[in-house]
Amino acid sequence: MELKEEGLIEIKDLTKDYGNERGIFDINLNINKGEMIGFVGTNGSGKTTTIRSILGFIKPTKGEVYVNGMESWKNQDKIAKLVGYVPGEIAFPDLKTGVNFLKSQAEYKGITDLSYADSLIKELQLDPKANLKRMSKGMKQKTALVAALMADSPIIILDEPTTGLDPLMRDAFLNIIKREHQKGKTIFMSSHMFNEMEDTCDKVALISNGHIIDIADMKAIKNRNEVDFKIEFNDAESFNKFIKMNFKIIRIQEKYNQCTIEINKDNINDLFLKLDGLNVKFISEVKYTLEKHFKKIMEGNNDEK
Amino acid sequence: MKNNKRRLFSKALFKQSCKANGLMWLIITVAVCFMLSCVMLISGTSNISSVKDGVQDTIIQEVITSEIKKTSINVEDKALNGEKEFDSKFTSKFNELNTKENAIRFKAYKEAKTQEAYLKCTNLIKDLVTEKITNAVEEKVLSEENEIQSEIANAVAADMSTEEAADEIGALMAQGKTQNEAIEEVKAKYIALETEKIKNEHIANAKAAIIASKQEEYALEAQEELANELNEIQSEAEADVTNKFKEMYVIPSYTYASDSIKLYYDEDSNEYKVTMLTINPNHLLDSEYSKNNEEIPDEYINDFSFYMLSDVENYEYNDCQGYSLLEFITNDRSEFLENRAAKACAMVVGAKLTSADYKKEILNILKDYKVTEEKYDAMGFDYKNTYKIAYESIVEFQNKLNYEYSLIDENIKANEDLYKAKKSEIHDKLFIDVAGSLLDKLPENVSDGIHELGTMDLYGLIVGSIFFKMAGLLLPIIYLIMCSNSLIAGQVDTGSMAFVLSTSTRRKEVTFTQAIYLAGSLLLMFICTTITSCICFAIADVTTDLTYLKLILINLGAFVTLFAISGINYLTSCIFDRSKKAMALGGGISMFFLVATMLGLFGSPVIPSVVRISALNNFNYVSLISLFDVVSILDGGNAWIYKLIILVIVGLAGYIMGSIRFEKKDLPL
Repeated sequence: MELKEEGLIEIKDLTKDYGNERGIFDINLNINKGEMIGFVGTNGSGKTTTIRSILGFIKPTKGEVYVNGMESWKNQDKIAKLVGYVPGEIAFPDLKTGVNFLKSQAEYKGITDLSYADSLIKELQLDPKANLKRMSKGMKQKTALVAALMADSPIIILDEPTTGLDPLMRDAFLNIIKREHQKGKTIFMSSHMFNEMEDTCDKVALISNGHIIDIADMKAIKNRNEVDFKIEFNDAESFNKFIKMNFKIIRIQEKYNQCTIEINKDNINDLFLKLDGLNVKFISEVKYTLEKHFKKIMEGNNDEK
Repeated sequence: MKNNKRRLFSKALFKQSCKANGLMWLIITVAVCFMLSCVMLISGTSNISSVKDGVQDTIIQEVITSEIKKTSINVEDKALNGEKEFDSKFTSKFNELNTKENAIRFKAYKEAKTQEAYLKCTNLIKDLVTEKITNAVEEKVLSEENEIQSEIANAVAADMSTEEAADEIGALMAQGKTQNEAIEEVKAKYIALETEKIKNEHIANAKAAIIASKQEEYALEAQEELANELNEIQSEAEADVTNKFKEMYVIPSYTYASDSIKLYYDEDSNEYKVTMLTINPNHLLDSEYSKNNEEIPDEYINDFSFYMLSDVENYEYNDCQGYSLLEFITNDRSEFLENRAAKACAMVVGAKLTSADYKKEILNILKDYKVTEEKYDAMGFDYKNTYKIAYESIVEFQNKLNYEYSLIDENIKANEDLYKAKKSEIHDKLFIDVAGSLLDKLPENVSDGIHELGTMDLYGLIVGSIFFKMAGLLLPIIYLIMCSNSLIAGQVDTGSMAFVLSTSTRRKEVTFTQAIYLAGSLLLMFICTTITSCICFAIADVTTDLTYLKLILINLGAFVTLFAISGINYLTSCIFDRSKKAMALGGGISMFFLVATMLGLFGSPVIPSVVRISALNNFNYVSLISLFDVVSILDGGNAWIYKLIILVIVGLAGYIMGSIRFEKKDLPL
């Protein structure tokens, strides 16, 4: 099937109002083919509701979702053909072992060749013969991931896939997802952890209380011209002198003779020259993270209010 | 792609449902079949209710006995009336025949016959006496032979000394004979003469002497010797007279009375036959009695003769018709008639009620109680017992009737209409009293209750109303509640439905496949119970209304009932996202129906009215299971059909509404 390059997943004014200001409101999101989108938000911010809307499990109060040009509520089954889905809370059907489950999934999806699933199982070090009921959360998630990926669907949707995994396993997970992305698949992944999005996603959308607050382009964040430095002085004299210099100070902690400045990469030399002669205790770069980025935006939003 | 779009059935999902619920299905099915076979075999092989059987046997005995009593009293009534009719007709005909002319004619005949016989007898005696005398004379003369000879000798000697003799001798000598020859010749002549003379003299003397002394003695002797012949002559004469009497009076009256019975009762009717058998005119029907090894009764009109004869004979003296026969019949005959009718009727009833035809009839009367021919035979209503019951009940009835009649007030007796009415009232009352069965005598509701208990099909009740309508539904309902929940709501609740719906399986496919699984597993379960119940029914040895067809229909009914309940559970399973809500509502409703049915059973008409609590019947109106009409199936009616159709509609509505709801709702997956 031909896939749309632009706007493979289009979310237009999507609203699902559960009342009491819960739900999602006027979500607009455009995902192109081959993109990997992170969807970040606190618990209960509406990530899962958005995903359910994309998959057509719930009927929007307003607006619509198009997947490959098809309205998702009405074309649930067709969309399901394009999508591999790993639910946030994994509950397997009432079957005995992982093998049974995977075979049954293969039958649903009409897959006869299980070699890709086998290679995934090896990579994830999964014991598929284990009883489904006795699987740990990690094993369940692995099994669900295998089920989602085995059909080689062009779109992969993962609802908080790494929650509850140990750091090593999380890396392995993310590596597989990244590899799928590199194969050209479109990936939509939700999480409440900012840091795992930073390395993997092309775009990250922040959702809070059902509203999309910002969509960050990770390239822009990574290639920022400004650098932040945190500088602490041994005496108040040097500290006071430094403050009076013409740097953009974003944070001051007089108690510790400490301040944080934002400086253009081109002017770093100038900074060091000016620091010469001042009694500096330490100087360190403060990394500009996605978290920071969003915090900044949210602070700005709060200020506006 | 297009094929997929039209596809409604998902094989993978069906397999998954089978794997998930198969074990539960198997356990429940085995348990239900086990329970079913226990119920059917235990209640089939052991004595399920000795009280009920006892009641039933008692009722049957009562019904049969009452039937015998009723029949025999009715028959005896008829026979007695027939007898009375016969007697009165006989009497009237006799009195009609008993004219002066006939009386004279009969008397003349009788006298002539008597005279004739007397003469015959006298002659016979006379002849014998004469013979006896002759013999005696001869004997006497013979004994006097010496005397006669000497007398002859003396007379001859005297004759020879006479001149006449000398002359004769002289004449002879003159003819050339010698003196001796002449003397001899004359002597011979005198001997002959004297012998004749003296012998006759003796005979006459002897005769006179014997007649004088022995004639009466001889007459008595002769009578004794001729006793037989004389009697014969006498009885011949008497028989002639009797025959004449019969010919003149008895036979015409008999014929007339017999013919009038034919008018009184139709000739082909049983009443006529019974009456004739009771009267047994002229011993015509002796064979009937000997056929049943009964004593042959005396001639019916034996007692009449005396009175008839006296009526005829006294006619002349009274110069009017004698009525001693009429009086006898009116006053002294009833006991004889009753006794005779009782015996004859008991015999008739005994013979009739043990005949093959009648057995069929009584089995038909008792068909409510499911009495087989063997059972009837085992009850011992053979000819002897039936005769005994019939005879005793007739005698009891008659005695009571006579006693009650005797108590009737004189004032009432005076008024003929009143008397008749009173008599018939007493008759009817006593009839029920004596012949009514136990049930007839009890208050109506009690006797209805006992009747109901006796006719109750306990096995049908246990298998149909108790097992298939309650006990046997419990486990399948539990299966339905759990299974319908696990098929839809449970998978939505846990989220495992996501793995189904994220594989391009349409919701319609899910609902259709799961509905097929639920209804199909239920059907399979009831195919198992049908087979089990048929096998058990073949093994169990019971008397019941149940047949294989009805058993299969009951299984079908139970399936349809559960289909309706499964529809309700399926609907709640589709409506709710939470298992517990779906189970609480669907299961709650199902259990409510089951419990209401259990309570309702105690008020339903299948429970004997003796222990029924009719207030509980209201529960039947609030239970869907009540539409499963086991009673109608067992009775062979049609009402169950439309009720089952309603259940099918309820079930289908549940499935369809559930499917529609599931397709339209938000799924938290």
